Amino acid sequence: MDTAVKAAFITKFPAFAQGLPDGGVLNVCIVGQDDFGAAIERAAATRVVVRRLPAVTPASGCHVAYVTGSARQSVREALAAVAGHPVLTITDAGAGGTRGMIHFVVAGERVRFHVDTIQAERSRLQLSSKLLALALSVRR
Amino acid sequence: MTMMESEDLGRLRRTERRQFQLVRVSAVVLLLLGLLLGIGREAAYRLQAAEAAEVQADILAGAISAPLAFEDRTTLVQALRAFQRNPDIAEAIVFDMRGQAIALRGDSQHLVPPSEAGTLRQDGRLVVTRPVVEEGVPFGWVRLVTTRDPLPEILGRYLALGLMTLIAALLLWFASRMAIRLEQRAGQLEAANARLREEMAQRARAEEALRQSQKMEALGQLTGGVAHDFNNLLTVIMGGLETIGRQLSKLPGGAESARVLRARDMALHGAERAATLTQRLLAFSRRQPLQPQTLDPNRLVQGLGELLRRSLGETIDLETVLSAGVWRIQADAVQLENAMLNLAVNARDAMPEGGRLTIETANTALDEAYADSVPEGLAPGQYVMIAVTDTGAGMPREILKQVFEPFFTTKEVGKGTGLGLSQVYGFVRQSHGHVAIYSEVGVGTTIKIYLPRHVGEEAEPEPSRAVGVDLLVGDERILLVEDHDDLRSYSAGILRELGYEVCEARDGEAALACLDKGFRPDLLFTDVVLPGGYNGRQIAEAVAARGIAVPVLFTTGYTRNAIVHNGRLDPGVDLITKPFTFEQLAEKVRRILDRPSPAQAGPETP
Ligand SMILES: Nc1ncnc2c1ncn2[C@@H]1O[C@H](COP(=O)(O)OP(=O)(O)OP(=O)(O)O)[C@@H](O)[C@H]1O
Ligand SMILES: [Mg+2]
Repeated sequence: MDTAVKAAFITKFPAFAQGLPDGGVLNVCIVGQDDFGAAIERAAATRVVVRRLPAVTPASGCHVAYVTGSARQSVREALAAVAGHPVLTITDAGAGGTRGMIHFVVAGERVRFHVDTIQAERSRLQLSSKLLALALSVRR
Repeated sequence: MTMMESEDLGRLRRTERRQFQLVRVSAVVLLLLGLLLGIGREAAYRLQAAEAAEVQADILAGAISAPLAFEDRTTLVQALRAFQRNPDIAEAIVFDMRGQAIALRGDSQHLVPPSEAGTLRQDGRLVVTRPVVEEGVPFGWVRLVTTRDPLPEILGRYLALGLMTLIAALLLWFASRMAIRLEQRAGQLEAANARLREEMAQRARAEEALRQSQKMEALGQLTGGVAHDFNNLLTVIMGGLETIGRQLSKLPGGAESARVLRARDMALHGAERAATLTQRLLAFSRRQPLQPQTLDPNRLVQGLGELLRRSLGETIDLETVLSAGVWRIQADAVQLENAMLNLAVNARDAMPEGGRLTIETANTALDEAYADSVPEGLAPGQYVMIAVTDTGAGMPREILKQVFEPFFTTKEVGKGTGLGLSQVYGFVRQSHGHVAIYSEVGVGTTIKIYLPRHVGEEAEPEPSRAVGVDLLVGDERILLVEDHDDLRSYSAGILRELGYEVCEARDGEAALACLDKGFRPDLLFTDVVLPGGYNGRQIAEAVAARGIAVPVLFTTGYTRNAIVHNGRLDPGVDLITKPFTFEQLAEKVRRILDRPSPAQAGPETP
């Protein structure tokens, strides 16, 4: 249940972020355990390509990186790898406390998120105020 | 009196019509303009309202994009509530990508999932559907349903238009009414104009008729005077010729005397013809002495039949249509016969190829209106009509106007004198009647003679006794008054030749002088018109005043005077018309003298 919601959210965040490179296709990279299967593609309203990477680099061409930590690259390492590059990073409370620009939590049976605008700004990404209005907390 | 020419009137009406057309067109233009303006305004208003609603929807879409995307129902509902607080917005609904509706009211009629953006108007409400998009990524739809326009607002919007329409309609109605009324008034004016013109034409006709009758009157005066003189001369001529004849017959017959006799006969014939003409002239001038008697018009026409048939010839059928019970008339039979003959001869001349002549008699009444239309004057009342109709050439109007004038003829010189209808006219008028003529070229002519009905006792006409000239002699004394010297000696000659004793007088004074000398006449034979103090009647009265009861024989060719009441003789007055012949005078004188004197016959009924 949560997985499907998160899959949908993942495809929607870029619409509320400015600064991501243009392209006809949204590249979503998953670094770590993949519970989604085809859920992301199903949920997306636009064309999405989901790639599972053992590790992410700025050259991976990811628009969105969903990072839960792999054997090769921990969450922290992954975040550090793309920091300063226009990649929207998403972390999950279920995979530890390390937070990316967006950090999923499940609160009161609902999938919710925290937002970190400092990381985003460092990557020259502008997160929409509409998104911030929905966040559980915003770090600025 | 001013009269507007119909041309002016027409122009005026045309201008008026154009002006009204202009007003009408203006009103229609105004109406159309109002409608157009209204429609334009309404369209602009709707467009603006739609745009406003769309902007609102877009704002809503922006506000709920994130809550919709991240399924934050609480925030979403809050946003919707906030929107619905706007009084212009009845409902705000959000659809997600699957078409699932999120609405505040479950019973909304606008929950059909949208497939595209759009703005609809549904029973007075705007239904605006807009996509929810962020950075080109669709998340669903928002739908706004506006509230219905409040009535006063609608009214306010349509009031100006309605007023304008109303005014234009009023204007149209008013203009039409005015146009109708003016049209009516113009119609009335035109009718009045036509009436006026008709009246003027009528007056012109009446004036023309009056002129004609005055002309006839003047002609009558003129011809009457000439004819009177002619009559006197003819009497002398004819008397002389007769004396010549009588003297010749006393001479032994021979070739010489036979030649002279033939010449005398020719001269006498000519003189007689001249006398006929003069009679006609006198008839026209209504100065012919008439001897009216009570007549049955049917009998007169029947009696004429043979003569008419003979003068009409083989090729013309004579038909008589005589109404039973036709009234009596009082007229001079000889002159009426003359008139009928003149008409028949005219008809014959108009039908050279033959045809039909119809003579009708009928009783009729001429009413006041008809009598008024006769310029010479006519008394309304009962009349007997004698109509003579032919199937001849007819006459055009110009000729018709002149036919009664003396000497008017269309016939060759020597063939027509132009006095035929003049006689008819004068005689009928003198008999207090009326002549009407109707003619159509190529169809024929009808001439109607109207003579007044006679009511009263019938004076039986004196039976004419055929007496030989030998028996007409006498030795009684006759007082002869005549101003015309030749005529006086002519008459005296005849009377003396017959054996009478004659005292000649040229006027009243002389006549009384005869009496003073002790002349006791058995007969007074006097001209009617005389110079000096006395006319014929006055002489008769003067003689009677001296206690001498004596019958009077008047003579005249010209009787527009005391002896003739309205152109007729008093009944019982004897008259011999100039010119007269030896025989006529002899017979007349003898008849009067042979009549039992009033004293012997006893007193007459007063
Ligand atoms: N019945 C008729 N039909 C056609 N024309 C007529 C008729 N009666 C008279 N007229 C016309 O009127 C004119 C005058 O008629 P009127 O009798 O006075 O004279 P007249 O016939 O010409 O001459 P007269 O009578 O002496 O022979 C005629 O010349 C003729 O033109
Ligand atoms: Mg004639």
